[in-house]
Amino acid sequence: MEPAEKRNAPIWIKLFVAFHVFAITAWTLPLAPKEYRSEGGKPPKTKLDIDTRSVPGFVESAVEYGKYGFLLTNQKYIKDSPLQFYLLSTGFWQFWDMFSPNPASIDQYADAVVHFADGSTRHYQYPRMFTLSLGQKYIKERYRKFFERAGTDDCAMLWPAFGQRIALVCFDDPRNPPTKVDLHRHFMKVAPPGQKQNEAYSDEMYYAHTVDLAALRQAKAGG
Amino acid sequence: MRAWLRRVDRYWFGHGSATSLGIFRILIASLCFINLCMLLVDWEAWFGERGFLPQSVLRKYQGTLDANFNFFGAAVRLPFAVPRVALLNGVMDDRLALAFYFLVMLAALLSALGLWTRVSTIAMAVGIVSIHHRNPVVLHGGDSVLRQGVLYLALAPCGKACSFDRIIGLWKGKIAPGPALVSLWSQRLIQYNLALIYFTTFWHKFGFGGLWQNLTATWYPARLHEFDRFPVPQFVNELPMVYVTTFVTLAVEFSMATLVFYRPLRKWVLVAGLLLHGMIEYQMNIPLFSFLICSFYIAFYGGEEVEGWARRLGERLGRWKAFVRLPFGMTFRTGPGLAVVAMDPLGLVSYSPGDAPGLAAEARDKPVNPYRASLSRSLGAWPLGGLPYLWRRLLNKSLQAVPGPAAVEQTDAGISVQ
Repeated sequence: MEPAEKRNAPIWIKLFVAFHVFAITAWTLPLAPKEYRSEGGKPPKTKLDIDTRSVPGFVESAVEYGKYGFLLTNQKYIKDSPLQFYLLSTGFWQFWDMFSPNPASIDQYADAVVHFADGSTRHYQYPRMFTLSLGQKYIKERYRKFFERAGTDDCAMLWPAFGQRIALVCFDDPRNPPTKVDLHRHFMKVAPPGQKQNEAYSDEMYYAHTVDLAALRQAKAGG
Repeated sequence: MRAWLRRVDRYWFGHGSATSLGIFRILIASLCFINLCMLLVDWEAWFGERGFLPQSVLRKYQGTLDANFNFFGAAVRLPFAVPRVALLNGVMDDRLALAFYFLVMLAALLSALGLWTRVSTIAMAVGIVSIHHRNPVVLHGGDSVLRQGVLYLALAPCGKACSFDRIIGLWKGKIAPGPALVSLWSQRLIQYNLALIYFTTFWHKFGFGGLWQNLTATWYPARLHEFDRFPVPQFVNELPMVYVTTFVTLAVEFSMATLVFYRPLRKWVLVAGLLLHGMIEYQMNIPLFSFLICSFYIAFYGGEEVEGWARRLGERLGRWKAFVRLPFGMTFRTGPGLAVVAMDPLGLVSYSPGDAPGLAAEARDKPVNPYRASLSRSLGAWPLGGLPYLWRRLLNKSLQAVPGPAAVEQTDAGISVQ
């Protein structure tokens, strides 16, 4: 009889590894397309169904049913289960959608117009990677990332602090504080191959922030 | 079935050299330190109360962990919020937050050196997760890779090799010479997580991305000027090259998720991955992302393989070898001798008994400074090079008087002190 193999790792480690592999795999799988998902208690716009009217229709819908059905089940029974707490609280959360499902096709940057108490205005250029030197853009890239999110309407809760920060950066003269900050976003959409490329950037003022002067003076004093 | 299960068990949990984990630790912790230094430049903007994301705004943006969950179809609500590892959340005093940040930097530095590795890697992981939870708005893909990397380091016995902990242990005689063997589950998790990154990003693209499916995806990022870095020839970003680069990107990502586990193809798949990320690093301004993700590649090689490379590289560099003669009548003390030799993974320094009153050395048939020659060739001693005379003191302290000749030899069987 062969001698029993020496245990290479405790059983609890093995259970943890199996659980962890399952958890990160389920969490990183793509979401089913929006129209098939039920969100906020609302039923999905499109119901998954199998088309039995024709053979090609059947094959196509069956593949879709299998793929999206699997992802919807993963969403409902795994991602929304208490498993989420393990990943979200420990930092093991991860989702790998860089340049996907499609890469971004809009080049964007931000700037602002700062209004001062004496009625004057000043243009504030939020760091724009395109205009920075090679070394600077490597270190300042977070500004691009911040604006990528903070420049969207979904993140409107970030706008007042965005404006207030710009006011603080522009607050040089205690007798003439900034009173209002107009946030601007600029877009240039990349046209598909074979079409004429845009060169010009649009200019949209998307938020006017009234500066909280008391907070501004307190922040300035704190610095 | 049982045999298959045993093979799987041996693959995931079997023992092997910790050298790959040690190198992974050096790479990830060093990049973590560099990343923290880069963020430090705009620390107040990102983490301060006067910055873009004060605590009150963070709470609105991040919310609490949803207490509602689904348990096999049934909606359940917890009576409490689930906590996060977020030691900076709620800290309103910038001085405290900055002190915490510096402690995380220190932990990263110690982790890179492999000093108090168990504690320092855990501190680094808790610190990085807390920093990421303090400002999730500025995180990019590289940060997610870094976060996974430091968490795996906190779980792994990564201080068992390529670390000052090991050197100190050898010096004190508390560690046996030869490669440290560990259960490889943490290295397998690193491999698996990397493959998962590529697999899911491939699925996102190929399964749902129309531009990837029609092979024009790389047309777009090349024209986003906010990502511009070094210039590339015009034709690379024009049709038909765009078809080629899009296809190659998908093929490499798919291979990195699958074929990389097939040993005969492993090297070529990893080289393709390195080229892909080299191109991204050259062309696009995504700080440290390529370096971080390529650091994971080392996990696909066993520690024994890495040690073999080091040996073979040392042999190739044989013409640079230095021959250090110990002072007459002196030999290495056992532990310190092993520690000194362990700091020379390429085997570029040969220590042997000498007949001069002090240390002497030769390299390429010319006399050289023995301290400088041994320090410059001992990769593990490089961090000590910044402190003047430390290496000299260590070498001198490692010696003792003996009646007979002495030598330390590094052979395939291990290290022997005679």
